[in-house]
Amino acid sequence: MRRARPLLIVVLLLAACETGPLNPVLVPAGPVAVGRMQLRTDTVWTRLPAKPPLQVWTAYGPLLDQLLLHDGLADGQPLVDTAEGRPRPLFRAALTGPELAEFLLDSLRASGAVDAALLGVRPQPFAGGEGIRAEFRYRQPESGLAMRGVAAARVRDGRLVLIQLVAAEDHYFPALLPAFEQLVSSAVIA
Amino acid sequence: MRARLAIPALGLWALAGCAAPPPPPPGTASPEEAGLRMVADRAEARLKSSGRIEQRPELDAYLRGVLCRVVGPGCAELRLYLVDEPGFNATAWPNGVVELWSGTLLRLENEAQLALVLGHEAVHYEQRHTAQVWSRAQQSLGMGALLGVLAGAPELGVAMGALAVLAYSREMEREADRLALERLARAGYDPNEAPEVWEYVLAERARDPAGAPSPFLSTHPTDAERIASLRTMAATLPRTPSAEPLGRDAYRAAIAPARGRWLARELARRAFAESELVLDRLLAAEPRSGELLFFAGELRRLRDGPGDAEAALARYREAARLADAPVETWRSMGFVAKRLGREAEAREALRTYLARAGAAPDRPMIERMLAETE
Ligand SMILES: [Zn+2]
Repeated sequence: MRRARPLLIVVLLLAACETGPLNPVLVPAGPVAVGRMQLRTDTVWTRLPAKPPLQVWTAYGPLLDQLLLHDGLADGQPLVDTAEGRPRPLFRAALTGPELAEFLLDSLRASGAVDAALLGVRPQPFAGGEGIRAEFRYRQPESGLAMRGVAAARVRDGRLVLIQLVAAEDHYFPALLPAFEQLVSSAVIA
Repeated sequence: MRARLAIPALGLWALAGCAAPPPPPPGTASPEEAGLRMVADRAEARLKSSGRIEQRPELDAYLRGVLCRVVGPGCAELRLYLVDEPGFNATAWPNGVVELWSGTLLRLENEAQLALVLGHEAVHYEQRHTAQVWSRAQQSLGMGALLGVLAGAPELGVAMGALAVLAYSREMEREADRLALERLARAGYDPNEAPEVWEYVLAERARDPAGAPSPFLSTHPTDAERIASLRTMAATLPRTPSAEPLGRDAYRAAIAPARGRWLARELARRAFAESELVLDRLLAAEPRSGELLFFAGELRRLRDGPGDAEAALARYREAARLADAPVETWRSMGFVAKRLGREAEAREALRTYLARAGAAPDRPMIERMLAETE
């Protein structure tokens, strides 16, 4: 009723898709641009259909891992879409660092995360400025699968720049963490 | 995910409906109902492994006690699950599951109201209303969608249509009202609390008429006429004398350990109009609760509308003077004071938070905020 499972969000975003890919496309190793954000990936990912400018990538499939990339979410905009008429967290440019972590956590909850909790948030340079690094845990609805999340985020010119990995806690999260770290350290905003 | 789940469910249905079905369990009327029970059993198994069930043995025991007091010996057939979900909802399944969302417990005021909700659902199960409604839903939606509704995570878009199919008829509601009210009075609860529950459901709806109605209201259609007839019935009912016809203190004590967590989940929905009604009612009953004042501040901080930052700060300050204020009161006070340009107050509040919070997960971040302003 009020939950969209993480996978469903992708499907929903597909429905609203304007200029993004209609089918999954390969993201090969090498330099890649997400809007104005320049990155370098050593891992091969698959880019899933999603409403631009948000990009959603996966390595092992969207049920096991999803990488969210955004080059600048505007003030007053949601990170996740929910069913029509359902409220969801909105990004505010004035959020402090810990409130940014709260926004990301509540966005996960709005997309169906069960038993979600913040594990930690600390300062971390990101995309050429002062940012945050936040870590979460939650369970997928229905399956109860234990998930972990990590995000690098920064407010730049009033917009949220974000790279966030969520993945199954067993195997997939530790396996993908180095790829996440590498992407984050490569991020440059034009 | 839907497709993967729908296939075994349909297979089961074919087995129950077309092949020679196993003999129905005692008390089951038809092979069709046996099929519905099997589907409900599958949904129950999924619910149990979903991580959505609250792990609170003491609270479970309390809820079960209230259920059995109002239902009587028939409660042996019922399995009550408290699901970690904000919003008002209680549902009976045709296999004897009673699903209660934790958000409901923030919205009820006393044990009598809780007994009414549980008793009402029990009547829907015992009178086979649930089986009839499920059977209808199965025919129009297919089992996959029905299972989705049950799992509390239906396909978006399908959800509202599915709920309309799952709705009880006015006749069923009337029967459930009458029988639940009689049991409430027989169990020694004040039956005048029954109309209060439905009154609240309508009041919450009135706060956000443009938004989607609560699943409880969708499945249990309610109007002012029903409330009026409940009032009349309640006034004329023979009552068992009782020392505690409301059970307000026992109810509050039972939910107290979980209330803060549920309120945080409530606000994470960002359904501020509904949540404000929830908090206003709780605060009207306990105006000197530091916990409730903190969450009243949180609502305004998160909503961030005109005047909200000042209103939030006022509530945090008031909460901070009370013994039961959560440690996060000072953190949020610091954020809001900072937003309002009150740097000195922000620093003071964040320092207090760090002094009291110990190894909080956001400690390094707060330390940085303090370092930047000093
Ligand atoms: Zn009903």
